[in-house]
Amino acid sequence: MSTRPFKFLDSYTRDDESIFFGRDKEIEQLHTKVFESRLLLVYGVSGSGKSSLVNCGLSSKFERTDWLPINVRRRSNITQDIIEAASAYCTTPPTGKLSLRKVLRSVYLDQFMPVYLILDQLEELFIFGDKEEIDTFIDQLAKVLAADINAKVVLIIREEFLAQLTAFEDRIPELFENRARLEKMSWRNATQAIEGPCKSAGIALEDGFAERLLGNIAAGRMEVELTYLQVYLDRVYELMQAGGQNTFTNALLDKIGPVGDVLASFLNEQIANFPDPDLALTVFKSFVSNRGTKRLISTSEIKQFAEELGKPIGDPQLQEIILKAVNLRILKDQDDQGRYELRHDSLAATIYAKISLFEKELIEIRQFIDQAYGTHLKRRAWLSVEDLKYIAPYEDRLFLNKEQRAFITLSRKEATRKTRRRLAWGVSIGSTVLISLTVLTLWALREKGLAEQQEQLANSMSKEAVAARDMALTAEQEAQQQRANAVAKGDSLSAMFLELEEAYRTGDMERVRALNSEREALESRMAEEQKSQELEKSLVKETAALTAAERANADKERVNRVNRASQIAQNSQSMDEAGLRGLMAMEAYRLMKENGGEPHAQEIVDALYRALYTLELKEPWKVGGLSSEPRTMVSDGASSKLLVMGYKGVLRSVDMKARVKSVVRDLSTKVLAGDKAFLSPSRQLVLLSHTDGPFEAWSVTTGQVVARGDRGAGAPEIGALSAFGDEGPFITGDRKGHVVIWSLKNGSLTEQASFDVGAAVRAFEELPGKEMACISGSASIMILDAEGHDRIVLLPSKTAVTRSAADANGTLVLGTSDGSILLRKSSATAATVLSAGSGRACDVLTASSNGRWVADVNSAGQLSVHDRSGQLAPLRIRPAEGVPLTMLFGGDEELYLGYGDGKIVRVLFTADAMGDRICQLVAILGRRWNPETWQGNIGIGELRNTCDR
Amino acid sequence: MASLNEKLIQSVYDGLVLHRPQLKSLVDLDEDDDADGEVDIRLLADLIIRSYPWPIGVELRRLFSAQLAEPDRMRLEQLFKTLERTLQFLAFVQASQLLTTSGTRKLVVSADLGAEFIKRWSTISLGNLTWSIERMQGLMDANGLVPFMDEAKQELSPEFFTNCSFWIPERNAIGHYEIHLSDEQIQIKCVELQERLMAILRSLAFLAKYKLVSVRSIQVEKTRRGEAHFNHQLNILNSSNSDFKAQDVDTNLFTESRSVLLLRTTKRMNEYLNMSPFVIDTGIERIDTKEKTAIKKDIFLYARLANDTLHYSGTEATDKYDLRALSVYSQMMEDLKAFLQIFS
Repeated sequence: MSTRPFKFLDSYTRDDESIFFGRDKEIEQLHTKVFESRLLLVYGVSGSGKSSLVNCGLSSKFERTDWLPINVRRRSNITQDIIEAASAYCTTPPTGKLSLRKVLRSVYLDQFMPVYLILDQLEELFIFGDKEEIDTFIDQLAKVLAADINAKVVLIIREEFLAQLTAFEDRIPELFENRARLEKMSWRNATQAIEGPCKSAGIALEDGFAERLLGNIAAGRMEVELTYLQVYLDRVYELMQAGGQNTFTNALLDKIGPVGDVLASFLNEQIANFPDPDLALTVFKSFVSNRGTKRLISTSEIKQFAEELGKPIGDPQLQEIILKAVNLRILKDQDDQGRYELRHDSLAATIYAKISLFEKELIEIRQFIDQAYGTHLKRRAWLSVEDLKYIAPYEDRLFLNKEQRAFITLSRKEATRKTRRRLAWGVSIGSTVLISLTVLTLWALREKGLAEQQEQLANSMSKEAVAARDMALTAEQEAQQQRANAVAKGDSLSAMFLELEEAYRTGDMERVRALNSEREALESRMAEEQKSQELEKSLVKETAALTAAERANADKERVNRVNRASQIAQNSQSMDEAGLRGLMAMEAYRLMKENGGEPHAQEIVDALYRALYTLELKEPWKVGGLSSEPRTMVSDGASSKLLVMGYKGVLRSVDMKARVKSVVRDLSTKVLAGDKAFLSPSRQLVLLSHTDGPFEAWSVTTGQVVARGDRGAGAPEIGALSAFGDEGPFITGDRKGHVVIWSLKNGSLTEQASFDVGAAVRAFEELPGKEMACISGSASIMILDAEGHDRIVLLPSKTAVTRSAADANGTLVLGTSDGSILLRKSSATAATVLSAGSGRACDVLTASSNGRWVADVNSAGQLSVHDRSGQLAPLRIRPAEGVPLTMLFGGDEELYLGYGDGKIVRVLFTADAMGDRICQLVAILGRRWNPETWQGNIGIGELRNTCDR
Repeated sequence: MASLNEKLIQSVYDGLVLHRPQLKSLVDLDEDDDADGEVDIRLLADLIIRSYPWPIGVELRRLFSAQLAEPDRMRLEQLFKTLERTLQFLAFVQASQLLTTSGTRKLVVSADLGAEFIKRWSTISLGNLTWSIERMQGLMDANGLVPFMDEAKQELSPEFFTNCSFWIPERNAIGHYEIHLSDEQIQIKCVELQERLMAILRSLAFLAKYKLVSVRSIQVEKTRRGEAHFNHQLNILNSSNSDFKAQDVDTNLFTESRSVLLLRTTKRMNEYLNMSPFVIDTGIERIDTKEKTAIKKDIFLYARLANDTLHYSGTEATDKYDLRALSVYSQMMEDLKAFLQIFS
């Protein structure tokens, strides 16, 4: 009988070389890349086989003397975890303060083999680690990469966490330069992954077995889920063994049949076999992080989790479940710290789908407290008032240990103490001020008032006497009125008390007794009435609760659908076929929108953008071939027509919709190398500045010079050039911050006024009322009029302005070196913040003429579109072509991006617009859903025409 | 550090220090060395690896690795391989000098020697390499050529060749499993061969005086009145890892770009020997076609010419790679043919 040639949910290691098939291309790719740099980033979706590819595929390419892998997964602190793992390879332990670099160097010197530090599941750093841990790790990693040691680093991360790695870019800018994305397996490779191991293990295959198997698990899909394949193969293998055969037959496949989600089906079956399936599922839920990934956890933590979910579990029961789960290969055996974890992230994702919203919140709060407590132990940081508010609703449900309880209690005390301290400071300062004022006042009054004192005293006493008499009269009247009111209102009990009071006062004891018995009867009647009212209220409450439960169910369903939409969006990106990718992205968008989710959620936008990009490649996507870089691009902001001035001095009209371009004016013979060209605000003039000092205004209509000026030889390089009108005055600003207003007389320009703005002039923006904003690389802007009057507008940010734009309403939009976007409305004396800075400088900026949209591209290449009306969340995409030179809004929610090779790229900037275009292109391709593709890729709700809206 | 290597390391290090005394200060300066007074043998090993040119250094690194710390079959194989690579490099230095000289003057080679040389050069083996080195040295003497590495004249002595020849019968028999060796016999062989290797490495310790570099590019800087300067962007191939250090050298002389050069010093760039087509650095190739993406970044050594195709073996990459996509391939082929022409 053969040995088991399949790995189920375990990843492959170097020892599995003989049964690892179907990945030759990817292995070669990694083997080439690993020599290209000291750092290799491997990413892909969960279940794409990243770990196996590195630990088996890549490692098998090396001789034993050339490959020393140190595999590390984060446990409690990634830097310490690496140091601990690496130290195990040191025969000469390093002394002194240990750093990553020092330990890795020591490993190399002891082993004399190239060290490959493989950091698997790096996403755990971002899920479980705090900022301090991440920062320390980045710092240590940067030092390793800068050192001359024989160590390479391989980072393995799920692709949905890639964005988190931007935190590394400042210290390790080369991070993304050497990377490999792993796709899921194609059918052809999956066939090799079935046939290869069978051949190695001596298992015969019936004809067509591999194709039929793949049909059972991946019908209608282009790619195969590796985890599904492994789990399914394992089941076939067990069936074969049970039948005492040594051949994989089609009959075995028929017995299992097609399974849409092999993993979910496997898990459901196994859970159902537990004596208490509900309890088993609760235990499994404890192994899932709040991001749906697996996590290492101890038995005490599992018990705590189960209690929090209202399903307390005893030690024997827990041990029984864990033991069984380990035997069933759902869990890995315990590690050296007595912790367990799921065998694969795919299992975590399957279990995560079974976790309710409330449970998810509870998990999130629990993780938050664990992290905060960890930070507290390191840095003595307490929970803030906001943190305490956040955890308060769940505090009773959480079974926190003694230390964590004490931590929360002390945090609360600390918060109260801080509040009191602030209050005390306030009171103390207030009192001091008050006392000082009082002393001053008293001193002044004393001098002035001594003379009037006697008279005032007499007057005051007389007034007080009158007031006392008035008050007594008023009180008497109020008492009488109260009595009368009580009787009139029928407030029997009140009236009775008043009568009793009167009876006591007059000494009528008979009346007192009679009134007392009346009072008791009345009180008992009233108590019954109150009871009945309360009953009525509780009925109303119950009805309301029922409605709330229904609402909660509906909410839960909505949340499920929103989560599913995110999943579909992510899955769509791994689809090869453009049509299917488009349909999936579109369906994800619809699901998200219909169920109250955020249609501009990053995964939806990414999916739509990528789908559209792939689809557009089948049609021309770019209007290119301008033959020179678009240095200046203008439009009316409402149509697809652009006026583009290229670097060679040719002014062209480009219609992005009709994809037509024509030459408006060819000034190429007038433009010299190094010259700068601008278009006047009216678009009627081309403004040229020559490097040796002169500058000219050329009429677009006639092609003639209308004005000529000279800044003089040796003048600093020009930063901006504009005009208040077609006949001037003209304005120049240079790199030294010198601004000059030039007036036109007889065709030549003479200096009218000049200013120094203190920093390099970057642009002039036309404002209403014949004003011009001078934008320089400083934290202020200067507003000038044609006569040379100026005023300064200070900006809230202390960072320098890098880019600017203005809309038709005269609102000035400014991008800064920290990536903030500021707005300065017409005639306002200060600017406000539209979007806070990301730390990445604003490289390109534009505003739509109607004032609603602002778009910017930062130095990391991220395009953000802000909706100033507040209706849509900001849209963020990373244009595939990189950072453009210039950018403009057109009509129909389109943005035009101009690139250095003369290419202009159209980007649709709302999910709606992208969706519409995807539907157009999908219709051209004739792609529609069929029941299989719908079930396999969407999996919820009835099949519908996604584009039929 | 395995004690098996200690004697070899100490002896070779002492030999290297004779030619490069500054190595001693490098050991003393090690920033991570916390030990007081006592020399860390691991640092000496690292210096040895860095001091020999990469093709030899990388094999020494393998020999020192913890994987080969036992005197077993694997170590025995590595001892052979280290010697083979050492002699191969030495032979390529001589061949490069002959090839360079043949461009300016005709070398006198007897017909018998020429025919035998071409036959032997077609298979790079220990025996053929030893034979070729001896003959090429003789050829240089006969033609009045001073070796580029002038120490070779003295160090490539009869004793050196005796040490090299000692391995030849062993290599054939053991390499082809023609004799069965017990574990004990393997242990003895390991000790014997290590002694010989030690002597050979000490003889060739002068290699530490030279720098092996690859020239990524040469940029010309020239102003109207100023002299032209040539900025050489180099990768230094004396390294313990394949992430070779880059160095820019600005000089008023230029060498040859996209080549691997053996330099006397980076201070005198005109004193160089172009090792192409015998030593190739694919890491400096510009990847501008799809075919080139399959080429591994590595230092390759010439293996043979067969079916009008040049074959190379990588120093780190273990698989066979087709280098025909390299932009300098046709030049490499011309150079190799020009070299063989000397003996025709």
